[in-house]
Amino acid sequence: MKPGLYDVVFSPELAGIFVHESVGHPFELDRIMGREGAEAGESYMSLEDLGKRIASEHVTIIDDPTIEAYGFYLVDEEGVPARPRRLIDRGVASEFLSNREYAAYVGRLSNAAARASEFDKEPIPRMSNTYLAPGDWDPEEIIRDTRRGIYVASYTEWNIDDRREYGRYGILEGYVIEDGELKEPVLGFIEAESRAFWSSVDAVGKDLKLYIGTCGKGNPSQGVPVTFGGPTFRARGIRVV
Amino acid sequence: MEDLLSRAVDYALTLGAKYAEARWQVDKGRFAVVRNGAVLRVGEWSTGGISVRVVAGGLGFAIAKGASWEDVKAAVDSAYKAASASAKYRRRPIQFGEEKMARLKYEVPVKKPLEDLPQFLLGLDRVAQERGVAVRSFSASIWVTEKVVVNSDGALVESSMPRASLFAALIARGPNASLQRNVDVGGLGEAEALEEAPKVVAEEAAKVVSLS
Amino acid sequence: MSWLAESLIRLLRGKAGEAAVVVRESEEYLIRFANDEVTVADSWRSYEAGVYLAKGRRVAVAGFSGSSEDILRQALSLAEALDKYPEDPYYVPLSPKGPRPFPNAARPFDLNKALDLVWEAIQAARAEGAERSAGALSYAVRSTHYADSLGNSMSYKDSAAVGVIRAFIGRDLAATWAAASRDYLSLGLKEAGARAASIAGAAKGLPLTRLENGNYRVLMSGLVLGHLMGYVISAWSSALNVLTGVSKYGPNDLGSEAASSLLTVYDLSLKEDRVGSAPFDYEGNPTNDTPVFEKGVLKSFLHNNRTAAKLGVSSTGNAAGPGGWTSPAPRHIGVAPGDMASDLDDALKELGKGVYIHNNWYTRFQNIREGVFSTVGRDVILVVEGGAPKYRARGVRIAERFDSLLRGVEALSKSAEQIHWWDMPYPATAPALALYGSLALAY
Repeated sequence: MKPGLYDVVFSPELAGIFVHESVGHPFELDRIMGREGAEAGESYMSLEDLGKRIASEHVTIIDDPTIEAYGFYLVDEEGVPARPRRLIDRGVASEFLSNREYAAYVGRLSNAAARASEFDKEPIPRMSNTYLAPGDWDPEEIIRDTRRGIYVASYTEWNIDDRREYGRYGILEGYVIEDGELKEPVLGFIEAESRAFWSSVDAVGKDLKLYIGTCGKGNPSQGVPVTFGGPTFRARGIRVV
Repeated sequence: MEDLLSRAVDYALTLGAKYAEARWQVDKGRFAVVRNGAVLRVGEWSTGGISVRVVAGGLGFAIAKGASWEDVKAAVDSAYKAASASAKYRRRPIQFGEEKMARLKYEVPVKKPLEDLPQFLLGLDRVAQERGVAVRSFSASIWVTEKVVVNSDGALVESSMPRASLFAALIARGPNASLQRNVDVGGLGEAEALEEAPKVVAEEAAKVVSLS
Repeated sequence: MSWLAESLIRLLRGKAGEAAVVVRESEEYLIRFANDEVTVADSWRSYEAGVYLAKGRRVAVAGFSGSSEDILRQALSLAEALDKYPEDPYYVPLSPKGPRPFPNAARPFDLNKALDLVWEAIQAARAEGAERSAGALSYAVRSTHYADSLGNSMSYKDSAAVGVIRAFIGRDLAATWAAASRDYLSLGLKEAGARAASIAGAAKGLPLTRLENGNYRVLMSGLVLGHLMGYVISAWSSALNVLTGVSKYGPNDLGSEAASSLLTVYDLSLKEDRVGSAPFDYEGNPTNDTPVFEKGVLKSFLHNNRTAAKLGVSSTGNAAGPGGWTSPAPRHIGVAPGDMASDLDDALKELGKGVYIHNNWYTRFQNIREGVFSTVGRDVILVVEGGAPKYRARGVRIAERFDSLLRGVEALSKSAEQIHWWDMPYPATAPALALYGSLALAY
């Protein structure tokens, strides 16, 4: 397969890793304000980005601790009742993940993201269950609607820079799409620049699925149980190498 | 526990803290590791105790060495000292907003206990081996997180949450190179959280072998 | 001898055929800072116990931390469940061979002094052009006690300090320096601050370019080299990984030429001034400075008693931590220095045309056995032409194989230093800079 720009259809597994790495982490308010600067890093998002369009209208990304999954809780470590947080609402950055200290810096109230992995760790802003909200496409319909592109079913090695701008995701199982049908297998890497990537989404499926993971952040390092996921979706003009 | 934590919070306020929070948390569980059909490691772990976080210009955090009042009081003293000493190295004091505080007790029950974790993993190992995966590594944990949180703004929260997780690394050897697939399965509870594991391991094992 | 280790052995002696415990009593401190102000000051006082029990060939291991009462209660419950455990194919009887000599010294911590050190480092970074800094100073003092049901006991006391500072200019120019030492007063955090700021400054004013995927001459700092060698050693030289096919190497590869003849890598588990070293391991065996690669030759794997028995050799004393009862692991990665300049400007001349990568994080594997990985550059990435920086780049990865890291070394700096930070798997003593003739970089 020649490196270049392709229309790519991603499975729920890929939706999960994308929302976690390129939206969940950079929406942590302590990170945006520099507290993790020497460790987990900072963010491509800034306080001024709140209320601005950073993704296409098809993209709504929610972090919801009240879903009874691996990242579940009803009250955070600072005593604040948990609720769903719409990080991106129809393409617009609408809420950062905050604890009480960082919410106060920006004149808001905490949205109950303060979590500590163990008794001997301080509570800091974290994700819980993060997902791309389902749209109204059947997943098969998205593939049928793609004239020439790639379908990525699963990923292998992945990583992202410490401002969460430049992600790279290895294709473990992927196929060429030709005239709406899956053809021969492909290997390679997806290069995803976070804002451009989410701005290019034009179809979101109904088939929401969550995957578990242990999310790392903080010093000393804290691994907290989370889920991440989404439905099958398509992004146009994605660099595949 | 609630009384001890409340006493810690009150004591921090008498020292001059603007905010204090005391948390008792215990994470306790068991684990097993199976590699290529052999049980490599079985055991238990637990980590637990009381931590105190204090705002006094800066932010201080300390843990108590034990559960006696003397230990908890020493932790409050340390956290307060750290918070006030570090205030000198800040441009503005730390302040919290006026969030509504929760008073709640909640618990997630275990629906299906999983007694023999090593046997469970050996079963998964066989599933992957039958599909031709050359190198198979499985580790799983089952644990409960119990917490009580009290803070000086009126929160009192008690929770108990069981979780289980499985990680599998499946390496298939192809004609030229090998291919690795990592699999995570888990959720709240015990066996109910790992219910999908045999199906997922079977599918992913077959896939990694066919792709390699 | 710790009363808790003794109490545990007294409690467990009749319940298991064999019992070994390692109790660590720690005092730890951490000061974090960001935007030139202290964000939190932490302190911990804790007990941790590793418990190993065997009855026949049934083995259970556990790690407990918390209060001493909780640890005793949980160790007893582990012993009572031992009959339910499966037989262990790697079982060997306890056979501790005792400790090496060790200095057993540790300076007590003074919070106000440590806060002053942090402040000096922030000011030193500012004086060198940083607009703001973030970082951390951590210090731990630990007493470690081994005891077993055969009547053996041994103890040591040590300390570990790590200082990290990342200097920022604007939003996306940054550089980190990190130091490790036994003593927090001799970390050189102030010098680290100045050094970090001056490296960040080297990219100031340079135009941003996008690096195309491909092979480049690469100069990397010791932070990158130490990080990557930590992964190579733990993944490929742990004898358990050799025995189970997770490592590329098999037992017969010892003695083969596996790396550049310029490359010598040790696990410095014994050298007492190295952070992480110890006089004995969790099996009560003496530790060693074990050569893994010596002038490019694969010399040794890292062993505990269990893996050593399978391969008919002696343990190297690498049962490091409770996990070491199963899987041997390194404690401190030592990469021997070479004869290249240690000064960045001089080494950039040596590089000529290529890329300088100052720091990295987020290393992930496609396949651990093949050693296929990528790691993301962070801090300044300089595109160098004619021996001088011409551009800066972002979003650059090293996307390579362990073999290329081992075989591709062209030069290493003369001076090596002790370093550790948040995303380095082990503390390391690494040359200031390493030059590679060709490494694959990806966007």
